[in-house]
Amino acid sequence: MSSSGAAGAGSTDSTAARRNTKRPKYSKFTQQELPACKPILTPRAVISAFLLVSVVFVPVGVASLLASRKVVEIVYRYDSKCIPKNVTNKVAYIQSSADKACSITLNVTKHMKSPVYIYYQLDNFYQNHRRYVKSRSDEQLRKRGEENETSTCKPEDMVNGRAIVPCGLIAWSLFNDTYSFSVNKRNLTVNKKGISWKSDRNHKFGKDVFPKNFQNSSIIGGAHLNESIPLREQEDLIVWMRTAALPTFRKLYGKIEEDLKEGELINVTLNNNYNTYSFNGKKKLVLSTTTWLGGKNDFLGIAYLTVGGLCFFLALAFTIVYFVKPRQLGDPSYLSWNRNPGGH
Amino acid sequence: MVSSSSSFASAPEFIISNNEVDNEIDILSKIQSNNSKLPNWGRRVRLALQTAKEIDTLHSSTPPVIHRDIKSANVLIDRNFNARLAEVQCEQPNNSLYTFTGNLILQNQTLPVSPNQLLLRGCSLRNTEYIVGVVIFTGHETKVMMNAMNVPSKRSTLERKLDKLILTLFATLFVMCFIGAVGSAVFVNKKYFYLHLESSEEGGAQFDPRNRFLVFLLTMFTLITLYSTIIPISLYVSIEMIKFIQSTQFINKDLHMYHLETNTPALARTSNLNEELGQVEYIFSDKTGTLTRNLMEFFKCSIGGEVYGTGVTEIERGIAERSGKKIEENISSNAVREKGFNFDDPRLMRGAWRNEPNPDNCKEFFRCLAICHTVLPEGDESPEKIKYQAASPDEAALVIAAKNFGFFFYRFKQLHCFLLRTPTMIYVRESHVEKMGKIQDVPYEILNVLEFNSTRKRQSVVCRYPDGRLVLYCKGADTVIYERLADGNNDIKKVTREHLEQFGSSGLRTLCLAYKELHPDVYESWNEKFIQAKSSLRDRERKLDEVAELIEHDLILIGSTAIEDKLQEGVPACIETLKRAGIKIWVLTGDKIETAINIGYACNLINNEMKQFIISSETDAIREVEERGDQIEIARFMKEEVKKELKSCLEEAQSYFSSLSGPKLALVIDGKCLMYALDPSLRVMLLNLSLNCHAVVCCRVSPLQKAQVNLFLKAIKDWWCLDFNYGALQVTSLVKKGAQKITLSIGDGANDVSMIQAAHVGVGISGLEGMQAVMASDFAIAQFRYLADLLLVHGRWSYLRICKVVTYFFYKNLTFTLTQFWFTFQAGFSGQRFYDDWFQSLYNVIFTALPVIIVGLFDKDVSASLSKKYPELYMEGIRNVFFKWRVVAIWAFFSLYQSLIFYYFVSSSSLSGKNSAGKTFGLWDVSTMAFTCVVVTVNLRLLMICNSITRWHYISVGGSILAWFIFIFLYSGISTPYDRQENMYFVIYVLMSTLYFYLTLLLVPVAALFCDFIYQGVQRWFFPYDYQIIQEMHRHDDTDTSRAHLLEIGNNLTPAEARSHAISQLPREISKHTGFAFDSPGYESFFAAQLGVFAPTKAWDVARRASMKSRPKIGHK
Repeated sequence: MSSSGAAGAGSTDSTAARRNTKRPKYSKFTQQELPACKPILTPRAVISAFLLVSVVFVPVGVASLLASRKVVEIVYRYDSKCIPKNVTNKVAYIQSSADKACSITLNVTKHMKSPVYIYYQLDNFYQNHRRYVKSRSDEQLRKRGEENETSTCKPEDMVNGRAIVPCGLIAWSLFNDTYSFSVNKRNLTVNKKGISWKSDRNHKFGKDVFPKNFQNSSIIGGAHLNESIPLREQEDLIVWMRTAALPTFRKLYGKIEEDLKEGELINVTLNNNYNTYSFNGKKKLVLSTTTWLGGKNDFLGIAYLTVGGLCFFLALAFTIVYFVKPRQLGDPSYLSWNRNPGGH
Repeated sequence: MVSSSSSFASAPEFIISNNEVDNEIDILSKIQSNNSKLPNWGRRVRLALQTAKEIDTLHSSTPPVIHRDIKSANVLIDRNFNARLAEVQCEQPNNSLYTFTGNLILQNQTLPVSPNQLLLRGCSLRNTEYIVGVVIFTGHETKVMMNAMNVPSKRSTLERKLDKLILTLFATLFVMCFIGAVGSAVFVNKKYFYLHLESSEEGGAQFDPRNRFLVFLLTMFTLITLYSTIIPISLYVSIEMIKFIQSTQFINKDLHMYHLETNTPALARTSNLNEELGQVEYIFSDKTGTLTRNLMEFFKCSIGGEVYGTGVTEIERGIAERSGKKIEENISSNAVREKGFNFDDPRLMRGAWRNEPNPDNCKEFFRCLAICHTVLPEGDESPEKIKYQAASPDEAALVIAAKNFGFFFYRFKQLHCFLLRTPTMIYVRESHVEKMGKIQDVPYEILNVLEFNSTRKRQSVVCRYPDGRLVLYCKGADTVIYERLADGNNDIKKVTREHLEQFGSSGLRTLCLAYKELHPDVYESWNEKFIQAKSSLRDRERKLDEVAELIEHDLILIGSTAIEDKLQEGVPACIETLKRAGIKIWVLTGDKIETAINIGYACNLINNEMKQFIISSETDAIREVEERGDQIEIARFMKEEVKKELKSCLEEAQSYFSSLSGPKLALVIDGKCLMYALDPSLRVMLLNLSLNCHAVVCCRVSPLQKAQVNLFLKAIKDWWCLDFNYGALQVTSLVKKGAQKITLSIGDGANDVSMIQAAHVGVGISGLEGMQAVMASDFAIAQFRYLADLLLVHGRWSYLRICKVVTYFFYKNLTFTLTQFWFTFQAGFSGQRFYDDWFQSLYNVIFTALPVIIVGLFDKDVSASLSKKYPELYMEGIRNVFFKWRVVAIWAFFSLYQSLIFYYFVSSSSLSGKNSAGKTFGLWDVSTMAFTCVVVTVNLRLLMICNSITRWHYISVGGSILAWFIFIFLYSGISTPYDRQENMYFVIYVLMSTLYFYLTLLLVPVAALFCDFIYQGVQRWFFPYDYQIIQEMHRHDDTDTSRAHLLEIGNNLTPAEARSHAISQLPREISKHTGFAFDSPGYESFFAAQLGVFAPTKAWDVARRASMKSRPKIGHK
């Protein structure tokens, strides 16, 4: 057999013959002898991996579940309630110019610490539809000079030959229900500053870009914008323009910066303007506090606990099996050619 | 005669004329030949006229034949100095190598031209200055060319299976798109007013609910581009890259496959078939030059009941090594070692034989070696420089032995013209005969040569000593010699027979030597009969045989020789390893059954624990029919016989096969039977039988009957080999087609090319013979034994790696695409991308590309030494354990599971506020988070399939994940003024500002890999693969750095102990056959060539013994 490669590599004699040789040079790479760790999934390794996961996951799960439970959340669906009883054609009603003010009362079941966030939640609304997602012009939103960049905005790009700012279906369908809150006849201020992500505000929407020709076409999709306020300060628009991932989504409407005490009744006066009736979408008003984890989100905690618990259970099960039906590591009798001699 | 060929291509096929065709043109000579005197002017004019007339004949034929090369050298004349024109009628070009029918019409005489007169393309001249011939076929019409197959482009079986997988993926893609497109067509509705679906702007038709069919169609196309990631396009590139590095860096540079003596490293000539090497189930091996070195060495001898020679044969050594003993060879300092002579015994060398108990016997022994042969000396007449030309290397070895014993045959004198039958002289320089140190040149006159053929199995020479003594020397197979020995001397006979058996069982080829003094009167009367027989026209060879019988009797036994047909180094061990790896080995050889079985034993292919089936055409029944000579009857009878044999063998084989612990089976079949067994009606049976056999020896693969007379020894060899490969080719294709198993052919010569090309994997032995085999091969190695490294180490690893790479690619693309698919359901089937374009494009190119290549290069389940120590691991490749549909289905299941985890875990909690400021995520936040999880998980999953993790794994896996983060940091951090949607702007920073992101990033990969981990744990625990057990057995070994230590097994024994041990291990039952040496196919025709005698082969009867011996054994069981 050929000599060991390591021996040849170190030899120092360098005759001509040796130089002419086609003998491959030794290297750990070509000889496939790179140092490697060879993990073996022994029962012990499996059990300890499971235990490790459960040890990490259960506390995390408990913590996030507790955090989630600490959140007080009031959800009120108002889309059907805010239609007068005698109206049969909801779509016609919502598209009419009648006064669609509506008053509802929310019961604070638990003390809500300031700030209380106000969300609206839409359902069956496909903000992630391909046609919808791409119907915007970021150049236009960002820079005053680019207002004619509306090619991506079709069909809401131009009206009467003039560019719409902000153009596109997203802006056009801006949510336009409004809410005002009062407790014991005392109005609660709704702070609408800082409800959008700062990066959106500062980089995607120009401070010198003003709405133009907006909602001037025949069909009005949603809210109107104040043409004297630059887009950067139109935070409702900014929030709306960050399109949601799923057809059910919540968007921040504003925040109430005072505590709501348990048992208080909150009167909400809302203008039910937005048309979700044509596609049977639900509209919900959500008041929620937050924790370090954000809003109410039991799923994460439960998932953590489930995985952690399963791992613990499996660790246990494997341990039992390990003792009941042990397999000696590297037992040659398990080799296929030992199991059925003369086979094949 | 004007040779009537249209063109002389570089390698045409000739018919050659010899005395069989016509004695007259036998002595045609070239007009310009220096030896013949020039004809006078009258004759010259006549010649010119005749030539002109013959050219006229050519021109007036239809279509006219234009001879473009008229010169004196091309005008042939006969004995009477007439220029001659002959007409050749022959068959159309075809690819049958051993049939040819044609006529040579010469002077109104029609002479048949048979295959015996045909020289195939590629023959070269030896020992003759010129031949006269007619070109029959040229270029692509030559039989050899028509036999050559087109060079097949080979793809590995795994790759072909991969194609099926890809097709399945295409089908899946189509189904997914179809579902999505139907969904889209159903979804679109005017009611979603915010989507403006009914608008008529350009490009708005895709979602126009007024034409749902169009929506379906257009969405279909959108989705095809969207889901196209399911097709792993980069897989092929990656595999090519991996295979390229595997072959150029690993196979070509493996020091374990570097042969120092010939300075040849292994060479992978194609990188397509690396993983095919890991699944080979059948090896077809050429014998000569592949298993053996085609190097006969005089190894031992027995003279007058005394064994000489101390060597240990390869097989003895192999057996000893396998049983853990180590044989130390002590080569004495004065041992003579040259090609053909590997003999060491001081008792015989340098005249020491004079002091042996029977020096006369020794002297006769050496003389017999020096005289009784047909070897031609070449070159300088000195012992060092002389070269012997012999038909078979056996003969040369014997003459070389005589030389080394001090009987130097240095000159051979014979008149050129065969017909004159002048006495032939052999000159021998004898040393130490009369007294120590005296050297004398002795000329022996060779009076008759009773040539070897396979019926006679012996060869005799009648020679006259310078003092007038007449002695007949005879050498031959033990059986024939013993029948013809004189009575008496029973002790020597008995002892010698024992020695013969001992030699035979050590894998040596034996010959018995005998001599007889002749009385001049007896000789003279016999010689008359001999000459008569020799000149008879009918039944010449039978008559010669009969005459020979008259004198070859009452011989006196001298002793026996033993020649080692040297196996290549390490062949028995390698074959043993390959056998344990579940590889079935077919050896295809032109040898006779007996020798083939001997070689089988010698290289460990067959052993006594195996049940042997022997199907031979040399049975009495068949011979009887053959005697009658009716070809159709023979064919019919043979077929019946073969069928009967096959059936009984098959039944027996199946009875063994059904009982689990039955013996392994071996099949020995000879060429003629094989020919009939390959008949379509019997093919299935042969296949069934041979598939159950662990070793198959096909001997006499070429029927030589039709190709006997040939003046060129090399041509004979080629002829034989070509024929032989014709058979081999069929065999290879049979297994390839019938069993769907992977075959490998290994050979060394040009004759193996077709076999090498026909098999899935062709391996050429590089170094010694020409380059044809190497050029046709896929892999070239220097020694047969490197096959173990090539298959068990490189092939197996390559198979494992490619399987892993393929399944992993499948998994990662499927997982990725499925997340996209789930999103489609929640995005109104609109074909909205879940991921940013760049993510999707770079997923395969950057974020998951490198680690899988690293696995394809570095993954090792067990080290190389363990791979060879446990060859059985190879069976996992033969069974294709790692790339079955089941494996793919398991991967598919896990990617389904994981994609669901990715999508739903990430998206389901996207509703509520995600930080303490209550802000929510948008589409791109969710998708970036999901993508991050996918990249991390998929890369970690890779680490879970690794058997060995080098730092390159860490670097590549870590690097890929890091690359993703660097990419996303840059990509979402830069806001460009150019035409770009700013969806991704700042997304990752937004994500990373929330704790939720980190919690998800911890949860999702763990939850996704959870199931895989359980599966792997359970699989390993309860249904471990073999390699996993081996890993566990050697988990504490630190052996990876050196494979060499494995070679140093065993303890030291003295040579005597080793020998006795080795002999005790040798086959007992079959040891009775002693494997006589003279069965090289070229042998008999060499004699024919020497003496101008055509000696057609008759059925030889060696196999009778072999088959007879196997009969009672079958009866026992």
